[in-house]
Amino acid sequence: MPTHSLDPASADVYAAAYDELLRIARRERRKANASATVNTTALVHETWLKLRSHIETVDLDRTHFLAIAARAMRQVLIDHARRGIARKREHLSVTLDHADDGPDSTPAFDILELDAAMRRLEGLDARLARVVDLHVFSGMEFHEIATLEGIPERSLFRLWRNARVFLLAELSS
Amino acid sequence: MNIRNEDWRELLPLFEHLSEAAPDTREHLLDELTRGRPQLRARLLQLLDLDACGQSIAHSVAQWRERLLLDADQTPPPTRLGPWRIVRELGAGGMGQVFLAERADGTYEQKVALKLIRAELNDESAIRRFLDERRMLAVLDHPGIAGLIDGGVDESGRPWFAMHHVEGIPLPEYCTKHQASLDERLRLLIAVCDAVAYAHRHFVVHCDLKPSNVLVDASGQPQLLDFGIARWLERAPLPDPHSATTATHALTPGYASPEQLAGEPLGTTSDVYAIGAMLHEVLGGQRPYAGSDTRVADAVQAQARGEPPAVSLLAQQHPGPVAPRQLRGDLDTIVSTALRHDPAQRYPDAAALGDDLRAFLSGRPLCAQRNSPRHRARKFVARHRLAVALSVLALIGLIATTAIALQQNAVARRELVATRAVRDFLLDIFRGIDPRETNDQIDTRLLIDRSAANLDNALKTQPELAASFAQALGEVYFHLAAYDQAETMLQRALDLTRAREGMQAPASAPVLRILAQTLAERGKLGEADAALASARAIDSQHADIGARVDDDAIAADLAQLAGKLDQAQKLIDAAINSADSLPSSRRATLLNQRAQVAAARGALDDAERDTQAALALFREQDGNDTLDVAENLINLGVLRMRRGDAAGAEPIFREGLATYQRRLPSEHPLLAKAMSNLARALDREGKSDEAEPIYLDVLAMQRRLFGETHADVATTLNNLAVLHVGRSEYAKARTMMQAVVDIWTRLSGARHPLALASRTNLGVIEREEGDYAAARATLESVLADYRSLPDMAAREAGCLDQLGTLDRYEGKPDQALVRHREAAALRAGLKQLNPLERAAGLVAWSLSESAAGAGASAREHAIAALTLLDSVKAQSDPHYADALVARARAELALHDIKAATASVQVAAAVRAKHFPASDWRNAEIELLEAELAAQRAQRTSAITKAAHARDLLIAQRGVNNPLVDQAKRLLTREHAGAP
Repeated sequence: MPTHSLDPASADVYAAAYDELLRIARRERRKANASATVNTTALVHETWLKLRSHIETVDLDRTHFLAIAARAMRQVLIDHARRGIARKREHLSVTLDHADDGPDSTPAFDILELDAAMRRLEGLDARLARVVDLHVFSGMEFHEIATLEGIPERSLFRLWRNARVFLLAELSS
Repeated sequence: MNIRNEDWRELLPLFEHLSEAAPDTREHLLDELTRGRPQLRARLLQLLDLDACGQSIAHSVAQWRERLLLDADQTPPPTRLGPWRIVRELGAGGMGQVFLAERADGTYEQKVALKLIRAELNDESAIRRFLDERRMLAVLDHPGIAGLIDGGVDESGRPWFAMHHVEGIPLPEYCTKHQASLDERLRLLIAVCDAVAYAHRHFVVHCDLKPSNVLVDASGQPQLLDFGIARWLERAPLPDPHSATTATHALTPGYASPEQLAGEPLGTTSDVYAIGAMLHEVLGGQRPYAGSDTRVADAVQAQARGEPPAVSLLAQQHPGPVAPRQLRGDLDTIVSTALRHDPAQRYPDAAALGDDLRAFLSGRPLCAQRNSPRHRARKFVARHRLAVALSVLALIGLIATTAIALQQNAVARRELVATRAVRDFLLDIFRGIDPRETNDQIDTRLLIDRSAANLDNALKTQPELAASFAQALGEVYFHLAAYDQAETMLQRALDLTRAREGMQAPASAPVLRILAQTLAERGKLGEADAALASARAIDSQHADIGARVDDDAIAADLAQLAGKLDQAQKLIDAAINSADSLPSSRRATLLNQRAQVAAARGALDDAERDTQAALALFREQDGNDTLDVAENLINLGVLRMRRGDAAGAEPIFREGLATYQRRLPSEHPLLAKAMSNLARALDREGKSDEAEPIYLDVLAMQRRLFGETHADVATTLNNLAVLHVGRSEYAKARTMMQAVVDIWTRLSGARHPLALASRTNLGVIEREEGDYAAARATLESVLADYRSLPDMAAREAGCLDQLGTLDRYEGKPDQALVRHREAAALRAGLKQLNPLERAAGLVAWSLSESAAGAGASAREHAIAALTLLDSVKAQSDPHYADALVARARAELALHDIKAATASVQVAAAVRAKHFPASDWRNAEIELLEAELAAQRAQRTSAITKAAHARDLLIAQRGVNNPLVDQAKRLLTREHAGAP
């Protein structure tokens, strides 16, 4: 787990969030049947409720926590993908969205490469990485994230656009 | 694009600026921002393109994200697990999937029910439940229980296990179908009681007994299945000794006791209720609350109205398979006692119920009438309270011995009894079948590691118990070849014992013995000797004959490892001479050990005699298909290999290997060794293509099992290097042999016999590769080491011959002859020596003599070598061709063209069998033919053959090679027209 860049209290929360997310995700998976989906946003919020008392003792606000939890969510997803890969012995790839283009013209990218690109983004600009974690990996809407970050939605979108072009560039290399 | 961070810091603000600008002003803005920097412009354009594509990472990841967490359960079923091929799914539960599987290797026909955990690996409670089931099955070895056959983990680390697959029909259905008589019905239920009683004695409560879990097989034997929700009794709260944690789901209301429906703790009496319900069904034609027992809520209501009426009354109202008058009286009593709502009023366990059924059949009075059930249950509690109290001392899940063994509750004896019981149980898990059948697998290791970790905590106040546990765990780790953990545990056991009972404590001797073996396995021979010396000092005052024999045998082992073969022989002789009174299996293992010592000394006849004797003892005891027999067969094969009889060894290896494959897990040190031996035989028979893939499998398996620095890895690498030498792939062989030298040196020092042997091999490979300087340095240093060690004459002679050959390669045949003569003198003093080794020495000598022009003695020595090889029937061995080549060269030197031609022909035939036509060894033959042609003045033929041979030799051996020199000399001579 990439806890090296976190202060000890946050690292602790990160670890707790990771475990909790994993636990809830597993429970959700057991409940859901094959066609259902798991709401990752709900997972992150539930984790907040569950870990609240603990978080308060280390003096961490909700915004900060959600950012950490979103990152933990990314880790949960990536780890899960990794295990899937180990099981299937093939690379798992994600098809990029293709609203306008036909399905054939859409490149597929490797989820592990996305993970690597995210690590590079973290090194470049932690805030951009946080926006991606919140939006992409825990599925929060822009207005929610904007409120959390305390900036206008329009500014947030600008950040998101920068992060997105970075990831696309990294993934297309 | 792979852009550096600094570049991104520049690019992103520019991109942001551009993307925010109105589309029609973008182009202009871009020009302005990137004036004079075309690369920057290109990059920014690329970013704008990517941005404009409308590809949304967020959306696609969102889809993936939501789906990903769900797909764990949708992975396709495995096609193979360990040695088992999956045939089809039999069913799936919350915990795992059950498959029908069969042996994939076709060694013999066997079908199993194979259960694979379905939960995520880090779901600890799920794993614990799963492993609990496996562990219960491992403990339960009874003809009426579908027992454990095999277990392991799949490629992603999920544990699985295989059980006997029972083809049968549910018990009540069986009775109906066969129109079973009353006696037959009762006997079937008695068989069920026996199996359940066996489980109860091992502190396992089934918790889910019902017809679909009690199948009657073709032989009429009922078999219990599915311990999926079974529970250990040990985790019982103190007030109620025979209760287990509640099974909250998956119960079948019709056979579930009131306490189970209420979600209360379960005990042996809950199983009694379930058997009672089946008895009711089999005798009365229906379940106790038939019609209102499909849903839990209904069943609870039905039970709340009271206990079921007597089964004979039921039979009166609804005529069933048994006449009411047969049921009235005793059978009514038995059924209703089993079905009491208050667990304390039922039979205390399945054994008691079975006893009363037997009593009924033989007309004896029932217990249920003699003794009120409540009274008996009280007695049962009293009898078991001690066991329950003691189980609190036990480590997680490790106490499960029979309560009966703990009857006397004298406080003074408590610790002793507990120690022995718990320890025996722990060892039984691993020894029950055969210690070698356990493996370094997640399930067993998880259990042991956890116990080891808990040792201090759980037994803080019980140092004696802790010492005993540490010893047991150390032994288990030793059996699992986890020698570092074994050492830690044994050292701990030793410290604890000594702290309590002093340095000379008799109890410390067994610990010291295993510790000595452990230390030796870790290559710490000095410490091992010291540990064993302490054990011997203690045993010389106290111990029985068995302990002293053990001491001698281990001392012999250590002496052999240290290369002190005479001493090893004396010690093992002493052990065998005093072992007459010991069990035959112990004598057999001692004979085996003596065979190893004899083999190490080159006394192959003695070794084979001892091995055959041990084999006979083992076969007499347990028949053919046992690990001991397999081990001895493989030893016998190894001895044949030493005699040079690879073709004779191969079938024996295969026979032993087949047993290993049947009886061992799919990855196991012994299996790896057996495969390695087979590969060696195949390589020696010239089938290196068959041998290489086996070696590579073995190497991969051993590295997984042991890591890199391990004797077995070194041995396999050595054999593989030899294979590459056979194929003239010297660079590969040299790298591997260097690795072998490194491993042995790290394990036991550069002067250990095995390190020295591998260094000799390295020198030979260097020489054959043409690196004479390196070869000389290596071989000279080995020779110096051999000369400084006792008992090394045979090895020293071998090394001298290799140096002699090196001298010959370097064009110094006279210097070579000095070496060979010294080697021959050393061998003359050795009575028993591997004939192949002796022959190889003679061949090397002969070749040097021919090179030095001493044709007569060269022929004599070559013929002596051939005679030796004939005597061990090694006519198809590559060594035989070498000896023929030596004889041909001698004959050439003597200008006996006719004899030389004949020798060359035979040598060509032998080599053609072992090596492809393009191999340099055949080129060597061709070169000899060229020499013969030259002698016969057939110049053209001589030149053609010599040129062809030269090209092949250079291609495979490089230019730095005596055979190439020889070919060149011949060509120069013939081209010049010299005779």
